Amino acid sequence: MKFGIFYEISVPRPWNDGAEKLVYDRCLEQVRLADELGFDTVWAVEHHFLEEYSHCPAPELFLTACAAQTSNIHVGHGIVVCVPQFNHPVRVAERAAVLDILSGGRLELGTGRSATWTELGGFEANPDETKKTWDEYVRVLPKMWTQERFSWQGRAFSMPERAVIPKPVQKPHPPMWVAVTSPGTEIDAAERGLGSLGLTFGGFKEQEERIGRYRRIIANCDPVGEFVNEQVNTVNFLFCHPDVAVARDHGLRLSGTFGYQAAQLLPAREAYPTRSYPTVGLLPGLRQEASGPGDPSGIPEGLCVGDPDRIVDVIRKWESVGVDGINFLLNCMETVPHEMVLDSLRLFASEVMPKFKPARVPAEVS
Amino acid sequence: MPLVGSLDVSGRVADAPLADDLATEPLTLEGAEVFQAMFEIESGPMTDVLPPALHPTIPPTVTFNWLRGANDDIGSFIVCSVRLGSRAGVRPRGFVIGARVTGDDAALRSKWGYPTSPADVRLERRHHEVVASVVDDGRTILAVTMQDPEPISGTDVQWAASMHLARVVREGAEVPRLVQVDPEVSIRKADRGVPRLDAFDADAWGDARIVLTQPVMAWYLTGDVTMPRIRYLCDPAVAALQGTEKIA
Repeated sequence: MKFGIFYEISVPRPWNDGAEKLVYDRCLEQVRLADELGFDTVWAVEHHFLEEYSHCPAPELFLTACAAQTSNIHVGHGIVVCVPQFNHPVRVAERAAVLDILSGGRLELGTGRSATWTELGGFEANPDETKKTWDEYVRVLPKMWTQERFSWQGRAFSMPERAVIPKPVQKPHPPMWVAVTSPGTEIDAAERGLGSLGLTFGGFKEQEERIGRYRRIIANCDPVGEFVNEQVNTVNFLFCHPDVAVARDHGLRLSGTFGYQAAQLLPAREAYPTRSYPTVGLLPGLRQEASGPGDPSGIPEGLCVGDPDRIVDVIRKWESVGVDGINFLLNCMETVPHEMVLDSLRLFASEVMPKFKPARVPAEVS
Repeated sequence: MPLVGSLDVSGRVADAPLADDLATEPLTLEGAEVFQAMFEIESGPMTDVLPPALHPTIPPTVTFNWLRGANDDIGSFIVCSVRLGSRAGVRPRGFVIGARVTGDDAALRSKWGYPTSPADVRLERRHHEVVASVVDDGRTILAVTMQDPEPISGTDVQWAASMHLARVVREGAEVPRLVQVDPEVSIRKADRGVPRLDAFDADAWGDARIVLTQPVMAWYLTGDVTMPRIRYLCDPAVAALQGTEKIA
């Protein structure tokens, strides 16, 4: 089982001088600590215009700072919006390669297509087209990274032969993932040999079925890259505290705030009737799970909120249905005091993490 | 926390309908037609035009909704509502700032709190376009065209519940409330297309601050629309999470 941390970088109003910097600084401090504690990956999303919910339009820059300030933790650039109005595919390949170089080969690239009219409309992108352009992007990115020169005559874009440089450090190229939100996207991931960056879950049973389907299909896939990245990650909240009641209060405030903020945005599905967006996006499964009935502790059963024993039990269930890794949202709108976030990470690393992975050589922990 | 409305509705209450016979049973309009067009609006007044019960969507939007229906119990009508995109807590809602009707509207007002006034409301589906308009006292105050209708699955249509400012009687007193109207629809046929705004007089609809900026999308459907029994009332002056009353 691998553990990551996952950043939307939400910034509550008022956006006084320094408000956004303060949040970014806190995120970086959490990343440095996570690296020391042995977390595997830090993911940062790409979102635009999502007021308060996510002030993270340039994740490659944030992740470059993460890479420069850490030693081991992988940097998850994802999801990158694979829509021409947002990012030309050459720019995606170039930025990813530079980030892989600067991080010393620690890049993971997550791909996706945005799910809000707030973003798609802002870039005047057609929601009907995004799945198609995503499919083209994931097929050309490995070629840009591995071919000395690259040319393309496609649907989303075309270009004459050029050397797309630099090349990534990782050979043949960094691992590729796809955000899995809508039902059936796990099949898209499997057919293309991509890791399933499960940005949603619908409970253990549904997740088990979807993971089983993913494993069956990927076993015979035709990978878009040079290798198959068979991994299933999911996303969860994390708040770990010795007192389960304290954990519940803060954890549920965290999850509730996240759901409330996400709901204020305009999903593509609500604005634009299209088969391309069967769900509302922005972690709908996680939001649904977080508002579901609680167990005897009052915490929804799938959430990694509680004391270490409870979180161990929850992760064992995720492990039993086939999840390889969990990426944690640590805060939202700064509802959890920063010091408590750090303490939660430390407690998780000391009491929970050793149950699932070999102990690391002790590191100097700040 | 999210932006929240600041509109004081007290100045509008006197003109709000008296919903003194709130629907206690659903009522089906067989073979109804619904046309809805969404546009983005200027964000400057986005909190000024909504009551404190509601949050604006990001970006702020307006939807124009035409409903043509008939039922032996309530008569036949075609009603057009102008709705501001919003959220009651986390739920999608359309705050209705005005409505015009041709036909029978007594039940619309008393059972569901539609703030109707009479006008010449039209909706016409042609093979190459859907044309909808509202003419009030000889003046076109709204006209929208959806060109080149494209068939879509009914499951892709999203019709958020409306919030109608009305006067209702609670504990013997007449008070302003947002009446939640969330029709269900069994869709027979649905089309979509890009809307074109041909006319919109925001002032005629009760709020001159609404300025449209760009079209989003429109849809047209035919099917059986079930007008709901009223289940929720919301105090417009209080956040929906605190001010919502379940009445059935």
